[in-house]
Amino acid sequence: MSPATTTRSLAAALVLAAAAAPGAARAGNKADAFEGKIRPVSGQLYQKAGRLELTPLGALSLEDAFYTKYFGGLKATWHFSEFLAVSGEVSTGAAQRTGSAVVCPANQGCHPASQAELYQVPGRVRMIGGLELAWSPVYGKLNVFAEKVAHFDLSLLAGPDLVVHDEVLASADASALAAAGGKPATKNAFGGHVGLGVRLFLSEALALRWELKDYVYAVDVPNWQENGRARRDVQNQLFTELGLSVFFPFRNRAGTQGAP
Amino acid sequence: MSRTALAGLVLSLAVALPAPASAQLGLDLTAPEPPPKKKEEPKKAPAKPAPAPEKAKPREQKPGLELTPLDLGGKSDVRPRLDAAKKLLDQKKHEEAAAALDAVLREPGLADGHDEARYLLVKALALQGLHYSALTYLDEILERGPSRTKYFHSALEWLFYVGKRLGNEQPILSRVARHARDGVPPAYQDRFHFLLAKYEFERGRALEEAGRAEEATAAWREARRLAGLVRREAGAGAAVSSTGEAPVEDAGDVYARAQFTDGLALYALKEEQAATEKFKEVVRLTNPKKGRTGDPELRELAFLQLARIHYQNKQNRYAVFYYGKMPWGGAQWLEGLWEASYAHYRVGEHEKALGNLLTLQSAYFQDEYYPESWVLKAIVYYENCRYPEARLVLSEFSRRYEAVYDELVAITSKPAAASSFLELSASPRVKKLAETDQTIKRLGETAAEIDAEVDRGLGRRDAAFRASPLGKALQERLAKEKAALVTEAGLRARGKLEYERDQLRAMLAQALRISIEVSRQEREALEGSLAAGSQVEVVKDLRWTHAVSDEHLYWPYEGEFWRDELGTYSYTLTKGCKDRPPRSSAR
Repeated sequence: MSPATTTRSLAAALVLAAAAAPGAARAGNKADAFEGKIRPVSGQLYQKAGRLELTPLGALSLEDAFYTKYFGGLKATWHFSEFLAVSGEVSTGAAQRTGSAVVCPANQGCHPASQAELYQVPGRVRMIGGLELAWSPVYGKLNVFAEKVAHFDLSLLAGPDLVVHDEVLASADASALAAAGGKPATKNAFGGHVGLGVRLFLSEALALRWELKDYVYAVDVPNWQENGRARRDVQNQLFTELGLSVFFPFRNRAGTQGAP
Repeated sequence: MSRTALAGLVLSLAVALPAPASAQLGLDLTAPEPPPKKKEEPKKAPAKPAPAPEKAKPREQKPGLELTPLDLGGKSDVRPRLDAAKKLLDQKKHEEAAAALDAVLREPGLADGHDEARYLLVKALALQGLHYSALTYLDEILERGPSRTKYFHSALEWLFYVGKRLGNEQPILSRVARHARDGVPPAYQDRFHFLLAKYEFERGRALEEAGRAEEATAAWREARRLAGLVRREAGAGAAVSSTGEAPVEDAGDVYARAQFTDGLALYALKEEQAATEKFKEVVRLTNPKKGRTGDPELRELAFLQLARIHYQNKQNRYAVFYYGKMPWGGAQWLEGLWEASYAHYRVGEHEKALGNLLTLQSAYFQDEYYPESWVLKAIVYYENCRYPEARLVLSEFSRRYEAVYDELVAITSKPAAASSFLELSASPRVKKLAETDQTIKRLGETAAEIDAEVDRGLGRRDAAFRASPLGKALQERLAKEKAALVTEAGLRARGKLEYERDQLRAMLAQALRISIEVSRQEREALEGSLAAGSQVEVVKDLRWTHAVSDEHLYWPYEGEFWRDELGTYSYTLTKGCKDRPPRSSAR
């Protein structure tokens, strides 16, 4: 319909910028004249409050020295409001050795880690399931080539998880198991994650969802003895996830965000 | 709210003065008392107070008789009690001091000390933040005049002190006017003259409304004279108490405000050119880079006045310029945006006019009362041969405002006491409409402040204080004060709503006429189609671009309102009349 011409600072930088700007500078901002009087956005095009969001997703682990995980999963999110949501997520898939899993003994050439050696290191995650609380303080829009507008939101994520992973073996057990052609047993570890999430809204019913999460859990590493027993080592598994969200119902709920 | 009568708005803006002026609270339409004579030496006034009458009359003594023990007791008792109360004040035990002073006032035998006790009680109440309570006692002191109380001038200083702390200066305006003849502390001369000027200006308006044009003119001339007495230095810093009693404070740029009042008076006297110069002077004075006391609200009002004067004189480009100078989001910004729509319309900038209306009709301002914005929108669409859109806008206007009209008719035809008119009769929507009258709004604000003083100022003090004679007396005084305000607000609200009812009726009729005209045009197009044997297009594609200046980015509007975009919208007219009417020749 009608174009709006305005000098707008990108909302993407809002969180950091707002925190960094001195009080007086913020007070002088054009947008502050109505601060506290009227909400920043009215008639929000893409609303989440009171809607269920289902997200089939793909996840990829980052920065893991031994195993790269390629997971697929499903996430269900219930939005209490535009700002607050809870989710449940399950993801599973393949864990493949990385190219950097190389052993370089002294005075010898480097060679790829053997199976027995890989059994002795953590990181072979089989499945992750967890709950999540999301806080989405930022809703913004981007000017795409001065032609189109892309709406997005930013979220902070945190929640508890159950991480199913392969047991980390002692060297003797690992060698024996590898020789026998067996596989380590799986173990469960309770942990948690924190992360950042971004939704790029495609329509009222669809959104691209990208998240970056750090899963934290503890595993026993038998090769690393402390006080006569295997050391309990804290693991950080960094994952990036990309999913396509479908919102139910397909349209914004009436009355959840109308009048300012 | 007639677009053809924006001139009236210039005057009505007076009610939106930063320190507002109105015909509220005992505006006296009789001839004013002569102003304080110049030969007075106000500096000496506080230093040489007239003795209190009680002290001025020496007791007659008969030979051989001593003073009665009762008299002696009365005189000898009050001093220690006043000293004790002063000590409590010095120790900032204001509540205890107030109770002690009230006790003194309640004893007829201590009449000698009542004058001082009353004055100290004002201080104790004001310093506790009980400003309206203090005002009621200040009235008692001021009513005695300088000849009957030595605290008169100090009380005037406290009047200014209290007035500065109220939501608006209205409650002290009439008090200042009432006691003008009795002189004023030198440090407050400028504020005093400014307030008097404002009072006279308001008085002039009230007289004009009453049909007493000559007296109104005299009042405005007096307002000009008083505004001219305000010195240019007033506004560069804080007033200094001449009696050393009331705490000093920054009074703001009194000179600039006086100049503004002068401009309003000039406009009222139909000296538009001189008024324009005055408002420009206010703009210069309030320039934040000039180093005077900042007053952004006054600056905004000066721009608005300049815009209105230019609009009224069909200098629409100038009007648009000045409307554009009003700070984004300011108190009068929305009003300016609305009025600017008409200026844009006059010069054929229909896109900008519609863009402004988009802001005005956004969800943010859905409670604001701008019915005429719908009529203007329909007219713009109509003039661009966008008949379906015009019809849609008119239909929406009728849907929204016929109900409001019915409500206004019902309210204004219902007999109700003035004191309960607003409370009993009006829905929140109509209440808000009534409060578009700045005087009613300020009366409401003052009443709310009194409520707050009762609820929080008194309510949060301990039960013993509330139950004390002073606590009860204060509640009674405040209730009386509020009742007077509510009654006045009710009276004015009835008049305001009757006026709005009539205006809305006229607008609904105008909308109907436009609707009929739209139908006629559509019928003619259809007849043309029938005659031609094919569809006749009344609109053509217009050339347009979404290119914007280097300072801006183009953001397509998609139905979502962003706070920082308000006021920047520009409608893209992609289609318009085949034979587009020539644009207005107005400047």
